[in-house]
Amino acid sequence: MEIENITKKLQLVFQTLFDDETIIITNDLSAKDIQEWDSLNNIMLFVEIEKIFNIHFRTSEITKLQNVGELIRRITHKLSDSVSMANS
Amino acid sequence: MTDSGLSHLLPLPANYFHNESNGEDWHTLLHYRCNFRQLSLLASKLTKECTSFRDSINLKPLKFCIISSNNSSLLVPAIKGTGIRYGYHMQITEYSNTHPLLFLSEHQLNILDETYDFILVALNYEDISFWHTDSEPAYGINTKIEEFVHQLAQLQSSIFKKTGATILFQNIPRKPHTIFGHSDATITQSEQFQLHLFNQALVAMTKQTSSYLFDVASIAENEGLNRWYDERMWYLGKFAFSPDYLPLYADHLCRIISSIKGESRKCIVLDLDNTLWGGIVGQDGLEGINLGMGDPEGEAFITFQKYLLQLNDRGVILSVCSKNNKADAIEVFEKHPKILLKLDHIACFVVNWENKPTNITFIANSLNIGLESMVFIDDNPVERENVRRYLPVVAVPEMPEDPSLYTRTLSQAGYFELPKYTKEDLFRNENYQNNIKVKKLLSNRIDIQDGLAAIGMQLELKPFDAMGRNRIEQLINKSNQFNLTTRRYNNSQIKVIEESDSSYTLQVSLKDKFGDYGMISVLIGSIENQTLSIDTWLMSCRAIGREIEKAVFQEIVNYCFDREIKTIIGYYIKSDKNELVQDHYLKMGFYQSTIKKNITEWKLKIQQKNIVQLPFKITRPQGE
Repeated sequence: MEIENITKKLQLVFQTLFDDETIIITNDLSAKDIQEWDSLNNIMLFVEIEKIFNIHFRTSEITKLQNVGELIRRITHKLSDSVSMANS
Repeated sequence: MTDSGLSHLLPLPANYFHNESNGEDWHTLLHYRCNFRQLSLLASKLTKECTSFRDSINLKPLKFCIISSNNSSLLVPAIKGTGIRYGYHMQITEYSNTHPLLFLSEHQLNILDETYDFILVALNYEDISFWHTDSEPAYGINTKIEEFVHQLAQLQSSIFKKTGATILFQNIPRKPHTIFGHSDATITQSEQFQLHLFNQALVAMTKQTSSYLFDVASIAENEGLNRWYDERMWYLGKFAFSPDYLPLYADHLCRIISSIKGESRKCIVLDLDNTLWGGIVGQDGLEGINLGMGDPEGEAFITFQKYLLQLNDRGVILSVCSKNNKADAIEVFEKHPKILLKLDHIACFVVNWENKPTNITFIANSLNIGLESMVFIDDNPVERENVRRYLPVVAVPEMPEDPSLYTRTLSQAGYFELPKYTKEDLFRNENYQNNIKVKKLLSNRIDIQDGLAAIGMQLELKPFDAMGRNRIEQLINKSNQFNLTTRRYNNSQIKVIEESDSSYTLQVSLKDKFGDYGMISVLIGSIENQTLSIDTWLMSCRAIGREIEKAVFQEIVNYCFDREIKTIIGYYIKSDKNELVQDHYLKMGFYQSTIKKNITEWKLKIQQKNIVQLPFKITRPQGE
């Protein structure tokens, strides 16, 4: 899946979860920047992302996330892993 | 979709909340399954500024409390949002991270609000800490379980005394891991074995007390334990199970609540072609339809019919609504060698070319039940859509295309939840069919009283007692048509009435030569200053039209006369459903004294005994 496509889907997840259609996600965006992004919503964020991309995160990936850039990298990585597994 | 337990519902359209006209009627929501986000949104609509939303959808208020030693914060929006689908505006208080047994202390107990309708004790796996005891013999472990359940029973009784709320205990699904492997099931020290013992003891406790079981272990088992438990969620936030199942969990909880409130559904309306058998009888003929062993789908239809029969046995009414030639349809029921459902099982058989919403309304009227008690089953999506549109309160499960899944889908939809088993539930269906027989018998007679006498009716009249309390509660919360005031009371309120010296109460049971109908009528009055005021007078709809009210009236009048009570006051409070008894007191000879808003007050001065000949044999057993 293209990065733009991932970003687009992810942006929609953020907008729905935080109930704010003006959120534009950038690589630097982090929990500090969104007031509602607390530990509970962080979990819900991952629950949504796992469902939408059909991927799975480790516990530590959920707790140690730095920013959206890292999130996109991890999603891309997991998706390409699953594609290469499917092709092998 | 992760929670296959909600596959009978349509997914909520993504743009549902953008459409302003939606959400004005919770009945349309009834047909949709919402994910956790959507449930939270619905819940916040209630909490936030949307008073117009709240008022326009006309929800019944309900105060709910969760006690859990885990993190129950996600349960709140899930339950609240789901509550709307069941017609409730739930106010929820949660005591998260609080071990339920802490409420055994006076101090903690006093925190509890006394106005809760329901309290859920959400037990979880981590609450059971007694199995790190491998050095102890098995009986020691069992004692610990007994002790814990005993404490839960004490908890139930002290919370009940304090709040009068209905208390629900949830049991605990096992973890998908073993210590000894397959032998876990046989080794008494294994967690699996002990959890099994605990769940059994909990069931026994809820049976013996006035509390109810929330069988979470079965939900988890249906969905699969590997998916039910998401260990990460436990470590991250102390969530007892995967958030994917919040909607399913909440839906099951609301089913139990609505069943305790007497709002379970009562009747299935069945389509015929491709619903009860494969193919179309009008085209394929009696020999051409697919039903019975030898064909995989034919077997699936047999299983489905078997399941319907089981529901029928436990009191769910079956009826048929099908577009067919009536003769073709009847021929299948009478002549097909494999068919299990017989015409005798069908309380109302409507086969014609009329539209289905009209027919379903007709069925509801002839069976004397409300549309909100009905479930419509049809393989045809167009018919389903039609019924959803015109009769939004009728439940219409999304039937899967494959008949192999019919039974599972209908069962997991949970329309016929039975909160507690009473003797009357066992015989209910027999009663509906008997009622039809009685009606037939009666219609052949000119004089109603002669007809009634011919069926050998026996009435038993006695004051409220502990034995009858569950059924009294059921009647008080379920009866709508013959119900003068439609006042609802819970078990503890009924107990108070039963024990009060100024109360005059009656529970009435009916038998005739066709069957034992159990308790069918309830009356609550109070006596003060030589006046009897009738707070509640109701009768189950299966006993309407038999002049039982006259016998009850005679009983009251004679009771009053013997005790020099001079006046009887009765009330009629108009509801959507009780038009039937609008003139009830007038017919009994009362005069109308006042009308305030929707309450009419009726009075009767007692001068003499009432000795009209009635077609009953009446017994009055001595109280306990």
